[in-house]
Amino acid sequence: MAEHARAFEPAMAEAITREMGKPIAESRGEAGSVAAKIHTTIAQLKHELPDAAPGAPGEQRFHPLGVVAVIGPFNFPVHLVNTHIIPALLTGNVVVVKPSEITPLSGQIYAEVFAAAGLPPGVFNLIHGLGATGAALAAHPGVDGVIFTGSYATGRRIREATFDQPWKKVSLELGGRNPAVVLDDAHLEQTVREILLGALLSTGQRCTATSRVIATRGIAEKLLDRLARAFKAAKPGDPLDRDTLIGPLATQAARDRFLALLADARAQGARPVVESRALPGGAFVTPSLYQVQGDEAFLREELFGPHLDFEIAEDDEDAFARAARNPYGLSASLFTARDALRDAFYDRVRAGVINYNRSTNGASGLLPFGGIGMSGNWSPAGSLAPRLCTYPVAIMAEPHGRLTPHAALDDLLETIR
Amino acid sequence: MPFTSRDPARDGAEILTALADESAVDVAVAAARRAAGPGAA
Repeated sequence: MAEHARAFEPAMAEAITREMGKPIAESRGEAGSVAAKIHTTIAQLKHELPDAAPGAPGEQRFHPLGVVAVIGPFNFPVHLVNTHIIPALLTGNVVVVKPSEITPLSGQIYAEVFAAAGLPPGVFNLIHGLGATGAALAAHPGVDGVIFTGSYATGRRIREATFDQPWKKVSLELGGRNPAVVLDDAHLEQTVREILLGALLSTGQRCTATSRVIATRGIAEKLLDRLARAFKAAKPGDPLDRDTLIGPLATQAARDRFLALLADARAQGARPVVESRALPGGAFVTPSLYQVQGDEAFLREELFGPHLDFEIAEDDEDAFARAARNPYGLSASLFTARDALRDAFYDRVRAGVINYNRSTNGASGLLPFGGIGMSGNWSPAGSLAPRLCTYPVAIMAEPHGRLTPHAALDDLLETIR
Repeated sequence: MPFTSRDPARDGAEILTALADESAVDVAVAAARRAAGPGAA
């Protein structure tokens, strides 16, 4: 399977870029993750699905759910279905996959990997479709588990559609509004670099994208200036050029939504430091940087575009409190020289991924991945994925013919002897 | 060959125009259930 995945990598990478506009260097990395995930998952199965504790009166096993539906997003059309499909298959499930309607070719080429590998019929199934197809799949009574990656609104509809199927395991990996907290003693060069990676990779269309910067007064002015100059200099380019940093947004509709959200932000009082411009020739936009107070309603909306909201905190405590005011809970970053503050950040900021002196972007398959609040449930990707595709079974046994001691039952049985 | 709602094609737009209706979901889930076998939930 991994060998076949590697053979399809160039075609997958090009399809991803052509369909959703991600720069080709990123798409190559995504295509390369397919084979890597297989090896990673095999290695982690044993410790993620552990035997019962020593001394337990039996064994524990993890039974496959059965039929697992995987409904994928457009921003990582291959990786974010693969990250669920591989653990599902390796724990004994079969899958029905629906790729995003924005990226059907990427999904189709991914399916060809399984065809080439010669999986038995019915083990891997792919359907294309719009939202109605995904809804029908999620609610289908023959589906035992649903793993969805996408927007909060769609995730909520899936929960609603499966309300009368409480046995169905529904795992949601939804959006984010991820803050980077920058304290006075942060390393400026490192912080600027990491925030730019967080905001601009995949043209801001990552659930882990950095979209808020909360800086304390001592560093705010320098940081805002550096970010503003970088944003003004960053120009979108041809995503098939390997040196391009920012491609277009995935669709014209995504561009229109992004620009409408920015208009809404301005109407709520956000001050443009760098304004976004739509460019001709596709769904291209330039990055935008707004200064905000921190209590605007639009800060609760996921943006999915190259944009940062910058707010100034009075002190460390104020910065942590601002970061904690977030209905999403996917990823958060803290930039400081003081390692002693890490536990306080962990305690205050509710997020499934916490980063110290690094971008909100990026994830490891060897660690859990997922969010809380409006970002989802169960951390369905990453190292815990095998558990999400199974249900645990406790198995206890007695030797053949051994009679369980019970005095009152002995008396009862004596009467019928 | 895994079930797909159409044959592999090289044109994403063409795939979209040939979209499965929701009955394809029944076909795909039925194929999956057969593969999962009687031990599935």
